[in-house]
Amino acid sequence: MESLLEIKNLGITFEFNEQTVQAVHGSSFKINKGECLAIVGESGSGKSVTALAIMRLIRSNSQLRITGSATYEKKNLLNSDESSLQDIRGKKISMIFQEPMTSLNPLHNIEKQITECIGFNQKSNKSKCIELLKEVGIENPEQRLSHFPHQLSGGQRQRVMIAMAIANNPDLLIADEPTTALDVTIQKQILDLLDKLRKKYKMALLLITHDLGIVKKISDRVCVMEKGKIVEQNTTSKVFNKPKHTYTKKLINAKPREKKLKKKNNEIILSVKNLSVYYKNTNSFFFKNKDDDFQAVKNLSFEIAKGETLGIVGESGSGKSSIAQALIKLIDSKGNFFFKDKNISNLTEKNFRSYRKNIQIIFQDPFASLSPRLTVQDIVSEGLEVHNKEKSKKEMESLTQKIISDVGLDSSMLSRYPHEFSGGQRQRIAIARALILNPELIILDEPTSALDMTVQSQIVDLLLNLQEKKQLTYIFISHDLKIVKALSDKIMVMKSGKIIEFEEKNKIFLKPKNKYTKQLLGSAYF
Amino acid sequence: MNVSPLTIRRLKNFRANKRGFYSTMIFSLLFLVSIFAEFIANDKPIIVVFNGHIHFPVFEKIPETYYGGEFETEADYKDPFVKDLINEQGFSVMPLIEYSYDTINYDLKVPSPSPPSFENLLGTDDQGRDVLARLIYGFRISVFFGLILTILSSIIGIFAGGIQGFYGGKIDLFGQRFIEIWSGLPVLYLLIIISSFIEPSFWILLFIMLLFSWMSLEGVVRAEFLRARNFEYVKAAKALGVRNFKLMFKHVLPNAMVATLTLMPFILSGSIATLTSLDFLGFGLPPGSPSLGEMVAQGKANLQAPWLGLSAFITLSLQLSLLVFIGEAVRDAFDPRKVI
Repeated sequence: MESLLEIKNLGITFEFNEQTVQAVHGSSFKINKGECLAIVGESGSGKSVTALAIMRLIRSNSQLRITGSATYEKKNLLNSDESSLQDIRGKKISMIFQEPMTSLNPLHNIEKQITECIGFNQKSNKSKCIELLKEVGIENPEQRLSHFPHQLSGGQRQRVMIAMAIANNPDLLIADEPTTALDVTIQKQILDLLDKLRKKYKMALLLITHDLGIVKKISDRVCVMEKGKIVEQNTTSKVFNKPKHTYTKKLINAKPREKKLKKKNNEIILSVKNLSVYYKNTNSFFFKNKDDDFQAVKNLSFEIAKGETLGIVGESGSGKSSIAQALIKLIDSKGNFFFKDKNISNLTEKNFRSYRKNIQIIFQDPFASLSPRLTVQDIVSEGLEVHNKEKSKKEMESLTQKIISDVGLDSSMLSRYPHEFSGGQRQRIAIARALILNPELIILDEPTSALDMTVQSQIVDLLLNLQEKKQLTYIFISHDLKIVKALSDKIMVMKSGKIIEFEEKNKIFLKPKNKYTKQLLGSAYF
Repeated sequence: MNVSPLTIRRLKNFRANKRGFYSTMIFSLLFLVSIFAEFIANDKPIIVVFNGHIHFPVFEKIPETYYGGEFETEADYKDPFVKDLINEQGFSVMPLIEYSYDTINYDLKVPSPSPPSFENLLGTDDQGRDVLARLIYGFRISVFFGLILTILSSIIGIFAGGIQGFYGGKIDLFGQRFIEIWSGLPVLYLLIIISSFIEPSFWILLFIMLLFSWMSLEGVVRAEFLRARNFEYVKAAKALGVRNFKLMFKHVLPNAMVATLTLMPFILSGSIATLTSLDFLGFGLPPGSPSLGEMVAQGKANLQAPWLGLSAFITLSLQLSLLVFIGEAVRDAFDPRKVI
């Protein structure tokens, strides 16, 4: 096959605060015409920087050094001048980004943003725009032209981005994690669209992702990156069937262990009756209209037995997180919930405080959930200071050390600050903080979605071990069906604040009844 | 003490801003010198050894009769008669500048304001008082005023902004409306009215200014608290059962501190400028007290004596520029995106 873009010995070095970080070193690969090449690797492995360097969206300066070559049509993109790059960017090579929320200009309408890429021939522009929008599957393209980005959903925005990228029939489309910010069902739609367009326009696709499921589905060849080096590249089937490098094997085998189903325990630890969560929609302070309030959770009732894991799945906006926050009273809610037959829904903050140590929460983003200005010791022992005031400082310290080794960290790490840890380690710290009070129920709000695949399965392992050891009950909220499958006993499928299906795990996965559940399962790549 | 790596990085960033770093050095030196103004510019000796006893006239009042003079009032050490009396049974060491801010030089060869001479290095003002001495004392009083006002208004501003931002809702709504009305009050007229029935001393002036200056920080702190109260680590702490008050000061305030500390040097220079302008208009510190604003006013009234206006101008501009440079360096130090 004819090669389109050839990258040789690409090296990217960052320098800041007298530290040198070699983000990419000695990477060589090529993309053939019309093929789909995927670059996979964990976060921080240098995937995105590689793409940015090819497009020359980052350039060498005092803090950044780029070496090597990227040959496109006999021209080295890495040292060609800005004006010749202008002819290539957007025309021959175009790019779509991860976050559709921020990659469109909020102040311009769709038509203006798309025509910007086409050129200045005013008359034909509008019809071309409509054609493009149709191509990427946007309904009512005529009306959409005058809309602004905030009027579109995440999936639609990504479609507009794709329309902009393919406007000039590029030879190569670079997609940098195009679906990471989207829900599973929309993920599938976008990937199908990309695949369809690639075949139709015979363009090459450079797909950057950390999700091996996607790679397996649509790419022809795979480059595996680890710490800035390409450790393996081969055709997709060879990489998946006969991985050579240990790192590739580790990535492919990074599947979480599944929970063994046990006999039912009849001790109900939490029962929820008619839970509703409203978000106020007030435009005016004086005139309130109750009907305007947005109901995020609608009359939900469910029960959890001790030692069980309840998985809650659903798209974003389906009210999963609202349930979590309502149960620990971080937001107001209506309805009753009983913790061990005691109604805790009407307790005041003061009376509820003693229950807080029994119900703990672990948040999604381990970078945001640890205070950057406190040491790990302070973070983990904070709960003790609130609930066990009579304990001496020594006792607190030894408890903290015990719990930190329970979650698989070293007690010498206690005096460090959160920014010195990786995402997985931080999530372990967050788990330690929740565990130190010996809670009986832990609510896990997407605890793994900000983490890499390998780290995800480590965290799932840890959670399973802890559950067995301490007889914990989990409410596990996620949109990642793979992880939910690994952890849960029962699964609740939610859509727009309602329970669509609530069943035993195996029943959901093997014999889904509801149409929406089937759709959800169908769009997930296992 | 446990110094976090963040603090070390900030100190490094601060030092990297050379102009700010040297400004801090110079300002601290000037401030340190002006703190000991009594030992540098005074009409009393630093130390008197009389009859085998050591005295520090700066701290104690010694009547002339003690040295063998006639009056029971405090000795006038500049009087040749007193000098002779002391030198008979001991000695005295005079400070570098033998004038305090309110010492009137009666031995002027020319009518006051007198031009610079070896006796009065920067000349005298229109009441025959040494300009250099007044500058040193004036510098001190304005820096003190600025510092106290900044610290107090920061405390009130952080507290008010923190409560508004953290609780939000009605507290925030009514708080903001109150601030809108309060900030609409004309401070200058208020000062004029108040100074017409009480003599505005240092502390009264400070109090009146404090009533209005806390609002400058309040908005920033409120915004930071509004933002930070929804951070996950604040929520996590809340889920642990941490009380609101502790939540505010342990988890949220450190976030707001960056914005606050960045603003502080500018508030400091702002309050110094306000005090100076009030003094210039005559509504500031009581008459006779050493103040830079009053000297600017004298310079305006005595254009034939340029040393008055020039010295006040140079002192003021140096002081304010140094503070602004320090402020810039502080801002750099706290900027997370700043790369050396």
